[in-house]
Amino acid sequence: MKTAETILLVEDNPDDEELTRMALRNSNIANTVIAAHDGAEALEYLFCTGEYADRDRDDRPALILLDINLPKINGLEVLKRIREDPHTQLIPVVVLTTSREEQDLVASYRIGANSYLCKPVDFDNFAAAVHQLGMYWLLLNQPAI
Amino acid sequence: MLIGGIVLIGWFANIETLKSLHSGWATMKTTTALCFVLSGLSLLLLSGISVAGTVAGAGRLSAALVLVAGGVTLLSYGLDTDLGIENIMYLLPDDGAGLTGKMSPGTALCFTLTGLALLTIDMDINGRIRPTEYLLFAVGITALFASAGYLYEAESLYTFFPISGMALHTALLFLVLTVGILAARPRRGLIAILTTLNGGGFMARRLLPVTVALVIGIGWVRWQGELAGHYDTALGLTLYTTANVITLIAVIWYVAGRYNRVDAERRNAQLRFQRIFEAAPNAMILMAPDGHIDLANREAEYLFGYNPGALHGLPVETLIPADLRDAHAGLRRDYLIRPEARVMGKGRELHAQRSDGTRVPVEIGLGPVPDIGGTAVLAVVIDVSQRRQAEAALHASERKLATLISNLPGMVYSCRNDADWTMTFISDGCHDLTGYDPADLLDNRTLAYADLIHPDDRAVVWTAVQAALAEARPFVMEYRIVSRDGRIKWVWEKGHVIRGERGGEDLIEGFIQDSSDRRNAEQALRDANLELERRVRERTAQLENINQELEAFSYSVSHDLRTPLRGIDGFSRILLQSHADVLGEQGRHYLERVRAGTQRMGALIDDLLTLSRVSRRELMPERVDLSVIAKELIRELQQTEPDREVTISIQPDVIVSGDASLLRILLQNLLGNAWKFTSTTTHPRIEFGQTRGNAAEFYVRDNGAGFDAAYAEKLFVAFQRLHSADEFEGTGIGLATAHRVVRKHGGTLRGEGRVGAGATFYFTLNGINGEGASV
Repeated sequence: MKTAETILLVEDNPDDEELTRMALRNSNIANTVIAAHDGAEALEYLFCTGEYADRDRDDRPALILLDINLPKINGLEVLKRIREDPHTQLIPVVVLTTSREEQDLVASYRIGANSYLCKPVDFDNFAAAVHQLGMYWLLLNQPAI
Repeated sequence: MLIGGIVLIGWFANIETLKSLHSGWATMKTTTALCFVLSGLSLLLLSGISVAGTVAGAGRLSAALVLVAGGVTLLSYGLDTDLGIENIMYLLPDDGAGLTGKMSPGTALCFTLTGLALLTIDMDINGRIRPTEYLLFAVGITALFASAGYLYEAESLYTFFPISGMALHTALLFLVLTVGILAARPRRGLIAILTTLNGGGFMARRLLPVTVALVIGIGWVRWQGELAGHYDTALGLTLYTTANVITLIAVIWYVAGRYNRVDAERRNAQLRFQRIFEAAPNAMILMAPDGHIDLANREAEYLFGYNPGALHGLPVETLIPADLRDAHAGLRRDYLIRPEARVMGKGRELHAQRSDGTRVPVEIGLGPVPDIGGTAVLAVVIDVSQRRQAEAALHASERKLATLISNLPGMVYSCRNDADWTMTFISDGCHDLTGYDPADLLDNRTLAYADLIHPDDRAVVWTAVQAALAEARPFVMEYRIVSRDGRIKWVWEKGHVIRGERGGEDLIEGFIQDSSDRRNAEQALRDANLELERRVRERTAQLENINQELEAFSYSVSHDLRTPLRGIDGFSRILLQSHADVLGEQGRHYLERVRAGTQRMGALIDDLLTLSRVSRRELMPERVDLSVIAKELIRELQQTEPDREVTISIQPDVIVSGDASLLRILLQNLLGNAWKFTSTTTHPRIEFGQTRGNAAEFYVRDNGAGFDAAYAEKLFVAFQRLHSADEFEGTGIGLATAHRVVRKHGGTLRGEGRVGAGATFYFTLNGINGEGASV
């Protein structure tokens, strides 16, 4: 069994992807960040289908940073599928989104998000938030897998 | 006549007693007897009030025969010849002296006079003097004279008056005949004085017989006494005179007493009549036979507008309208020909003329009143103007009702409570409603109303009416009828029962109206409502779509607008961090300005989203403690700037009913503003509470920068700012959001302030702003 070292970043916006990577790097989090740019890609990666058909199914990410507003398949749908599948249901999922809509927040927790984080516009705040969640989920938190 | 007949028989039978009553007295001759028979017959035939034709002719013939017999005999005495009339008249054999003896000259004179009297019985001169009476008086005096002669045995009478020699029963018969002829015409001439009901007649009727009988009787007694030698002539005369005087005084005394009583009664009756006449509630007028007003009571004077007594003596035509006066005189004469009690002017309008010339509609009752000199007429006049007015009003009302009924958009009816609904009255509306004329349905002439009711509805109608009748309430129902042209119509009917009086038949009265149009209209209304509901649903769906789109828009604003901002800010930050030396001071400054701009835009987007959320959110009212929320918000604000010292005053237990989430946004904005605008104040102070009084308001007060009251109305318009960004940062959306929250709660929000002297924002919620307001 491989050590869970990867972080799956599901983010369609390249700016946000780069800023997130930068924020993680600044926080000295060295985990591999794999980016999926829409919901469909995220699911292909997780369930080793399509482009990721040859991937080792057991190579599960240690953390999924999931945006909600995604092309093709919505983030909440992705979360739902993750939680429905026994293979992936225990992976910690942090919803990282720009949406402040209460309905998104409630829906996320209801489906099984472990955490919900609203991306601040201010980069310093954003970097601080990413740093904290990285620290918590990757170092402090004891995962089930 | 009867006695004459008996004497004739006496002559035939030669009975001496019958011939002369007393031997030695004069005998009644056969001619005399025959003349009495004829006179009696004549009187009998003429005694009717107004006899005519053959009866009167026969009576007059008899009288003429008597006249001829008397006249001829008298003539024979005068000429001293025997005309032998007895022989002509009597066909009997002359069987001895006396049988065919001539009647005495007195008798002949009397018969002559009697015959004349009978012939002239109905004759009068100037309407007053009747020759008959004077003739009869002569006969009566002669007969009385003869009778008295017998009574006092005045033998010398015959010698004193040679023509006498009249038999006693002849004389008595003449008296009877005289009275009889006089009595045959009791209402005319002098005899009327005796026969009248007036006081004079009353007195005379009592005095005459008594006086005659007593004077004759006393005279006879005196004579008999003198003959018997009881007293001499002088004493006899004294006794006679005294007895007469005493007797007459007694008689007069007695009669006066009687007459007084009668007169008192008469006066009483007259008084009573006058009172009744005056008290009569109707106008009464007594018209004298000559057409003048004799009496008029007060009512009459009042009715015709005359002063008391002013009507007396006026021609009755004065009271008749001028155009009818001439005709009235004729009518009056006609009436007097056949006077009878009747009502005048039956069935036509009668008018009377008042003294002021106005006309009064009247009803007049007429009654003949026998009066001296003819027939008076009593007229009872009733002023019927009020009755006429009432009748006119009734007619007008009936006409109005009739017009109303015939113009009603429906049918008014009255029917029996039977299976046919037999119509007893039906209005013209019947035709429009059913196609039949009212006459067709009346009394089921052509068909019964029940036949018009749709067969399926007949039982329902019957049941509904009977149920209503049983509970004595009106009924209202709707059912179908089939009109004459076969169309089925819905009708609406309302009716009630009129209970028959004294066990009479119950009648149903009511109104039936075509309700097809109404039902159609109702159906149309229902359809329209359904259509409206459908459209409302459609619109609601559209609105919901729009709302969803709006939400989607807000969502994308929230998400998509902020994302690039974060990129701009993030990369600027990285530039500043990692490439600060390359940028130089000027470059760093610009980048800071870029970052400030993006952050401000982020705040703007956040506020806009809040405003949008407030607008969209449905109110979920609950019990909210504004004091608690205010405290929490102040604590949060204090945390953002831990170093600031602000005096806070929050009134505890300000509890309202409202949406907790929205009220939090409201206070967040108001307290946030207060926090912000006191940032440059020396001793900042923020208050939250509730004013006292009926129109209590909640308020948030600060002693900060305040605002120019001139711009107070711009406070709540989105993006309107009263301060420059240099002084106080802000988006200009906060108060607009607060205002929207208040409005959503049905309340008001207003701001008071002066530049540099702080600001107070007052708000109400849903009209509930009093203390203790709760959920």
